[in-house]
Amino acid sequence: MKIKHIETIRVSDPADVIWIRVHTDTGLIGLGETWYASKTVESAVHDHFAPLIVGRDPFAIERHWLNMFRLSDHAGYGGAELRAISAIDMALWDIKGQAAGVPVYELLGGAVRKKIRVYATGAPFVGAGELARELIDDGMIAMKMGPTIPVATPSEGQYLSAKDLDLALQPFRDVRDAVGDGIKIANDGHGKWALPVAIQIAKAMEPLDIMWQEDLMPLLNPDALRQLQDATSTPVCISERLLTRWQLREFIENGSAQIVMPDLIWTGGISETHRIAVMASAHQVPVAPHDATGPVNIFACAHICMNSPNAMIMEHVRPYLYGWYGEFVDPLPPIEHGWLSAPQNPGIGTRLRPEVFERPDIETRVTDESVAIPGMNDEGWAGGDNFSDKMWSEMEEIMKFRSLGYSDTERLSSGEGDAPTGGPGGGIATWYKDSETDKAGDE
Amino acid sequence: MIISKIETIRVGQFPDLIFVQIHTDAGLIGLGETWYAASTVESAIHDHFGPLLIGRDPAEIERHWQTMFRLSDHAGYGGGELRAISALDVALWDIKGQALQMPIFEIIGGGTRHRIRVYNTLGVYGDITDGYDVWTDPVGVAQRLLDEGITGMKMSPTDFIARESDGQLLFKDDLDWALRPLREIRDRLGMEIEVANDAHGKWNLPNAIRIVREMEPLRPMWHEELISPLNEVAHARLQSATSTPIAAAERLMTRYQHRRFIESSAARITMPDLTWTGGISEVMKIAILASVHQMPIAPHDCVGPVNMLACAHIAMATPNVMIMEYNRAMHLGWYRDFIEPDFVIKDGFLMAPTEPGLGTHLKSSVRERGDVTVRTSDERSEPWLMSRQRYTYPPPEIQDEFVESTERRKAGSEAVYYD
Repeated sequence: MKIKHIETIRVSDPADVIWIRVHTDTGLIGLGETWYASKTVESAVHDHFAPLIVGRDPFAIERHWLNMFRLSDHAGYGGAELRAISAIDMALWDIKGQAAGVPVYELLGGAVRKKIRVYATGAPFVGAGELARELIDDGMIAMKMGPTIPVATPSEGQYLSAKDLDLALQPFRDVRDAVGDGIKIANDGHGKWALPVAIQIAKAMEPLDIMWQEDLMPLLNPDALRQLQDATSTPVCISERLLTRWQLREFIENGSAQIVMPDLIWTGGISETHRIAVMASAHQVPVAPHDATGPVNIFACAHICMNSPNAMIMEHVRPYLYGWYGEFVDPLPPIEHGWLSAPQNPGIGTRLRPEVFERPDIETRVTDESVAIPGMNDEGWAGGDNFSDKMWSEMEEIMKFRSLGYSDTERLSSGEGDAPTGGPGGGIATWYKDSETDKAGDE
Repeated sequence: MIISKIETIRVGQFPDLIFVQIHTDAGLIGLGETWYAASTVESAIHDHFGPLLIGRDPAEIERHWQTMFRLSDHAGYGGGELRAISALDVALWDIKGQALQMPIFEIIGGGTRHRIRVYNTLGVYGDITDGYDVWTDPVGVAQRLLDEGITGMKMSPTDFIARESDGQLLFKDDLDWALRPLREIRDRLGMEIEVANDAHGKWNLPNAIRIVREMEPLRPMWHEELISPLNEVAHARLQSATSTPIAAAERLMTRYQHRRFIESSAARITMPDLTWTGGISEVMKIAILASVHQMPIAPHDCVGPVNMLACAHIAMATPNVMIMEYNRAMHLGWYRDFIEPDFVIKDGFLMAPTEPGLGTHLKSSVRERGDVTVRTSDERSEPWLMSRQRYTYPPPEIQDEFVESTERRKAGSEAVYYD
């Protein structure tokens, strides 16, 4: 199986969401999604990553991830490029699941559960108690809100008066007054506060029994976050802004993250979130995947949650789920009465609705060519650029000599004949052979 | 003065290169630059950051930097967005310098020196083939640099031998082969020339440790990116395995990532790329952070001509700058197609720029090229993230009880436009 072309889909509202469809020569289509600065992501997908993937085997997800990550990390990874990688990664898992005829969680190792609890994000400043009652009636056990966000504005988070703090606590008190301990409440600070204020807020909220304190401070210094966690009995939750296992590692290892909240469509897709969940499990901390973005993300996170023993709870935004999500995907994420169930369809488990393609505000872009881009090859960075042809051939002689006793294929493939159907064949060695073919323009 | 227009300029010949020009209503034009995935950077500038700056005062560089960085960090900072911020930051400094009629280094603290030593990263462009020649005639390449007064060079001898196993296996015969040019230089020229080793993050930790130990007798100036700077603990293990300084290299983004490597003894030299890591504003901060740990910075180049000038200002104003990277092949090959005046390399030193601001301009001929792409933004808008609708605010009747907040809000201070 080969990837034929890669398509992105944007609309004017919501403008930050972007879907990606990876089309294969067998007719399978993988769906991915990310959210935020979608035009910049679109450029990253088409101008940067797609030409690296078109014409290749969609099953070699790890190889593609590595290539894309290294290409992006050449000038410092992150931002829109990593969101593009996340969306592409998700689409590749969708293809593999469809080809195998199983939901993605089966490929990750199988399910440890059939459903996961969800919590509802967002509450009005006045009427949070009423909402809590409504959520409980619907079977929900937890909610999240961010009432300290607006009061951070005047001082840009450097100072918080007792009166403003009291204002910010009102919605929490409202919930406790309305339903007692009947619901868990998380607080999201959106990275607005300096350390002493963050501690002040966390301490003031302790009597209200907060489920977690999320992003009270910018996630820029693990030592500062550790001081926050040391100062409060409430678990500190960290954070959708941290990208890849490399950044989350620092916060997990130093004990500042008692709860880990990766955003799957920002941090590197299903592949990377799976790795983050594994790393968190080694430190006996749970993961609670981030949402508040798009519908496909919930499906992708559902697969992570079904497979990961240390999944705690899943985020969702009810106005999105019952609002715009339905205009775009079918089926909707299987959320009912406070639970997200295991998706049943092969692959990621949902599709873009056909109506999306008839919208007047749709912007699509397609890349169907595998082109050579300076600085990019199978390793992501053309390290061999500074070698003349003579150097290459001399080096190849050395390699030939060595492989008399110990061939590339023996060393790098399973050694048991053919690889699984459609798989990358002889492992890395084959990839390098493919790469040489590409260079020669034979494909 | 307000920012009236933001313009990006790319050319087909160098698909990774992008210039940004910030125009003001006073007629001043600030020039910035970055390199890598230029079309993605272009989108970040026009679709994301430009509308925030237009109509605002270009003098408020720190404010603009904060606003752009926070906007970008909402979904995790880095990549094309941070390169866009870097380029815009340089252009803002250029405007400030021109407005004050001073070179930037005078504004950011004044000169501590009037020139900075450069080392040559062996490159290949046009007639200059140092990067190839070093494999066949290493002594000749080194001698030519010494003849020009350049006393240091950087090469990447181990990149090629990492390819076969993706950095997971290292063979003695490969390494001997790779180190042959450097051995020849040491045999014939002794320590006349300093040689730095750059490996572009291709190795795993044990292979990197083996390489630094094998290379110890060859006394390299530093090792750079033998492993990717993704984990400062691994980096510190590498540093503790050798007496050669390890450089924490250009992929680290902002003071926040550099800090981890500086504070944990994971490196002895830090190498920010100004056009990637956040511009002049952020490199100043990284340099200060490094100075607290008595550690030098050695700014990265191999990107574009404006970067050299921006780094020149940092180098003149900052005591703990060690040496500046210089790609002779790119400079003599194509940098001068884009800027005038050129920066000055004399006797192996990069000289202090003398003109107000950055000290150079984009040549008008660039716009006349057949392969040029120019995109312009001149409209201001508030991104959704910054809109009030984003959050559930207390209703006005409740807000009014809270004097401290509301009075400040009512004052409408321009400083409070970021929520």
